[in-house]
Amino acid sequence: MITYYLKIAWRNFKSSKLFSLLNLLGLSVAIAVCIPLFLFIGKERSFDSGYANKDHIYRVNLIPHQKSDETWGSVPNAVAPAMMQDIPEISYAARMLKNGFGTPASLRVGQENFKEDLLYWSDPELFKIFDFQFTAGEGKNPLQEDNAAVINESESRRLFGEASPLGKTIIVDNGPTLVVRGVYKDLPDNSSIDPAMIANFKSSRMSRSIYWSNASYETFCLLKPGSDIKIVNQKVQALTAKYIKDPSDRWFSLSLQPLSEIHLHSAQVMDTYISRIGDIKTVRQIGLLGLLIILIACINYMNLATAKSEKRAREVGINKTLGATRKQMVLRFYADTALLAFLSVVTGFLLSFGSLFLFNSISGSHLAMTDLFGLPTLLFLMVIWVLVTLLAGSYPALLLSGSSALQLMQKRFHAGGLDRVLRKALVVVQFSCSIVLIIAIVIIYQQMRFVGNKNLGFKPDGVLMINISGVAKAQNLVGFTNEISQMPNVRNVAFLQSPPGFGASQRSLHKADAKSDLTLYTCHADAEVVPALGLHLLAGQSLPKQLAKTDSAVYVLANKKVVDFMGWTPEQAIGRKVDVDLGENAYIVGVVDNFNYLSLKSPIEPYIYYAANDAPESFNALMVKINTDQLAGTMDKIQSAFGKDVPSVAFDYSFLDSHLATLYNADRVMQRTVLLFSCLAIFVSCLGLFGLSAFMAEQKTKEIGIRKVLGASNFSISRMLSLHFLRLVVLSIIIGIPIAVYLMREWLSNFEYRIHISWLVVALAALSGLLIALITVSYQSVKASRANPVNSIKTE
Amino acid sequence: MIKITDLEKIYRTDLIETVAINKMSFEVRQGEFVAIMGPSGCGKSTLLNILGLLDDCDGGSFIFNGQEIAHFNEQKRAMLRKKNIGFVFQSFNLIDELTVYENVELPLIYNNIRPADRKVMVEETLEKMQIMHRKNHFPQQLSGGQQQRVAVARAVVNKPKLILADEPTGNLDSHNGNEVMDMLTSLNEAGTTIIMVTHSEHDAKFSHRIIRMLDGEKITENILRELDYIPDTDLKENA
Ligand SMILES: Nc1ncnc2c1ncn2[C@@H]1O[C@H](COP(=O)(O)OP(=O)(O)OP(=O)(O)O)[C@@H](O)[C@H]1O
Ligand SMILES: [Mg+2]
Repeated sequence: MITYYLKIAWRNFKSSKLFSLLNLLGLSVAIAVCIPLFLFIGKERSFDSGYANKDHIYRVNLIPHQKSDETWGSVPNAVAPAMMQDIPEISYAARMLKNGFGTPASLRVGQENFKEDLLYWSDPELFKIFDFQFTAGEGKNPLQEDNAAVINESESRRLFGEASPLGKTIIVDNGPTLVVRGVYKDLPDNSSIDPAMIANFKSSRMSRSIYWSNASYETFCLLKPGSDIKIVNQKVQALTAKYIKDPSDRWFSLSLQPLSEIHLHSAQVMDTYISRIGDIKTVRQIGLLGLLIILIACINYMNLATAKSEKRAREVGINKTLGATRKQMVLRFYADTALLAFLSVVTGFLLSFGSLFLFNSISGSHLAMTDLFGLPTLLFLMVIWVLVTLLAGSYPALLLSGSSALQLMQKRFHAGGLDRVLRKALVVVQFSCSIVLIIAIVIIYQQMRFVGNKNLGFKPDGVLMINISGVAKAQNLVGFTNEISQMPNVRNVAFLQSPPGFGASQRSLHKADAKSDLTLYTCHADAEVVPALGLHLLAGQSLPKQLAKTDSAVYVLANKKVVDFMGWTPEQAIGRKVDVDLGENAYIVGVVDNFNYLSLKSPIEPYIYYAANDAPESFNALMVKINTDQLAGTMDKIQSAFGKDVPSVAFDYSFLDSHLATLYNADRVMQRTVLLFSCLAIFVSCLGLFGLSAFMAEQKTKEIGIRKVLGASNFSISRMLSLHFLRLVVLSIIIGIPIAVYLMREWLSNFEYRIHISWLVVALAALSGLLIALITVSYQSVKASRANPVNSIKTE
Repeated sequence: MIKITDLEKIYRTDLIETVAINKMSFEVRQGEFVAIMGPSGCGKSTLLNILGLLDDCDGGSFIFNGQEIAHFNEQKRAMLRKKNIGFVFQSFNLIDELTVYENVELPLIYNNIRPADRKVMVEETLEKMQIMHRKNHFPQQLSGGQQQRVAVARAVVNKPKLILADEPTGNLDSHNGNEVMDMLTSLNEAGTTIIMVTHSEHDAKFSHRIIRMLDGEKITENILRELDYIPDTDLKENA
């Protein structure tokens, strides 16, 4: 029996080639699109699931009292030891401090320098919390000695080649000398933590004082199985009260975040060293998009199937007359759909090699081709197959099989007109989705342009950043800076604690009559900061060029946000004393316009640059403003000067503008992905519209013929055929616009700087949807209207 | 074999009621060949559909093989239908996507006949209908007469006791029409009961008896010949 149905299905497939191919194309494109989306979601959801203790690992997060809507992923370095000591439910706690608070390290191995982005300083307990697989070294307690370090296999190959690294020494940033005590297997790329090298925290400069103030230490802990997270949370909470004696210094509270939530539920968590951050919103959007595309393709199928149902009805009627039962007929239609769905799944699978590549390249993901052959993909395809068969096959199956043989064999079987109404409804649903997508595409694009062109308040282009955190003393660089300052293409050289976009120190701005302090960013800098970054001075001047040896003052260059808070105009602010936790003698020497160093999703922060003798923070970066006309030559000269003047440090540089671009990268990637796949969705729904119009035209050939014999012009006929669809499209626009506007308002509310949705743009987008539909439909209409009426009347 | 008494069929639409069959009564004996005639719209097809268990009636009694079936539901009627009744339609009603062979095989599939037996039965029937050489063609590749022969083959392959034909020659020229009539006659001679709706006096003469209808009612019955013997006089009378 089933072979008989498959046979019919196959012949149906072949006999109506256009419709079958449209369906096949639509479904397989949809499936090809969904496979990478599925793999992406699967990978995002699999994060950190490989760790044996995954259910008992937590990160300690910090919530500053001043801004209780913020969550930080790092805490003071006193937290981990206190937790171990005071809370019996905690088996282990370990700090993970990224070298230089996130600036790359310069490693010296033998005579060679290497740049290292992923060096972490941590406690030996880390290896009790996360499982690392050691392939060299005894692995039991690899960080036993204070100067011990372990590296992963890639790092071992990079630094030492094929030689065994055990016992070899590595000098970090011209400071501590570490001895390699183990090599561990690279952590999988679905692990949130990603160290290439882990050194004992005790060798870090930052371990010398243990305090409850500076919160820069990402801290993980392992709970004993069976402990009540609520109670543990309370106990963690209580630590601040116990250890911070002065209540006014208790500026934060702590809370534990389960490891399983770190990847997808930390988009708002600041100050973490984890760079592989996902976002549940993204995952949901992507999932929704995938579902939408499949749905649109299924609607295509249903539409074409119901459109053909008049022909099918007769066939079912005959079969029923000959003794087919209802069940057998239902089966027959499912067989029809199942065959097509199967072919689509196979084609979609083949196409997915391309779509996966595309997805990887636009989204910057690294989904492996081999994942296509994994069990989850296979299961996913099976599920899609069954789902599409049920979804798309049900309507014809149930409608036609439910009617009696006699009804079905009547010349015009309408199922009470239900199929027509349904078909129209489906077209409207489908095209409403397309309208929403078109409007979304336009608005996302506009917003991206807006963000790209936004005046940042500084000029990041042509600014070369050189990492100098490996240089022990800024004085060692004097030779180098003097040399490059002479180069014709170098305009300014500024020393900074951290470049824009890298975060800076957080301090508090006190105001006598204000209820609370203002959290602001402070950055140690020198006079050149204003020209190098292109800051716009509103009043006063830049930081002093030279400080007298005995000068104990702190010179402050504030942005407008700061003086606004103090209630001063920029002019009034000059020469005023400010209390920013930088000592008694801090004076404002200049005020610059506001600038935005973070993504435009976040508001402008109050920010000061300061210069002082014995500044609490050292310089970590050189900002070199260059003329980019002869970039390669200039870069060569700067690099060779660096190699000559600072031989013990790796030349680690990047460009400020490209670094800032990476800040928006996640958004951009998301937007590009959404854009591309939305276009595909629109394409798929146009396929459906095209098929449907082809069908209508075919069905109406006789009517068209008669009308033409009666004197109708080609134009009036194609208009008649097109209008039928355009009415539906207009209805879709009416439905789609409010939905689109609502959704896009939601999306835009994520941005601090956002465009206003212009009705003109929405109208234009909707109009272009109409145009796309018109073009799709009119091909068939025009074709049908051109046909010779004699031929069309003869048929039947 | 069939006995209907006061059979009624009323079509109700929103505005009007059409009495398609109005208290009809007649009997058809096993082995008989009955023709039903009457003007367009008088209810012939409706009657045939009820006799063929494709439709239900709104009143009266319908005894099929000694069983009252007026109250049968769709499912029971379908069971009875597929075992006992074959249909031939004016518009052939072959399935375009199936070959001649497969079209004829279809009723056997629905009657759960084993594949090996099916092959024998299908080929035997196609042989008898002289379309064996076309068995791998699709319906659209055949002439009208050939298509109707396939439809007859499909109706008889299952060896039904009763064949219902609704204007089987309506779409055929006289040559092809006669071929189909010959076929039906020989089936009848082999013992199959046949009820045929026709507009053609010529075709009606192949039958034993003509039932004439008007506005859903039986008006006359002419017996052309008795079962198993053909009275020449009757034939002439109606010529
Ligand atoms: N599904 C239906 N709904 C309503 N009325 C119907 C329906 N089918 C048939 N009729 C009406 O019942 C009457 C009998 O129709 P029927 O098809 O049986 O006529 P017929 O004798 O077969 O005509 P013809 O020789 O043209 O085939 C007609 O008046 C017709 O309009
Ligand atoms: Mg009729």
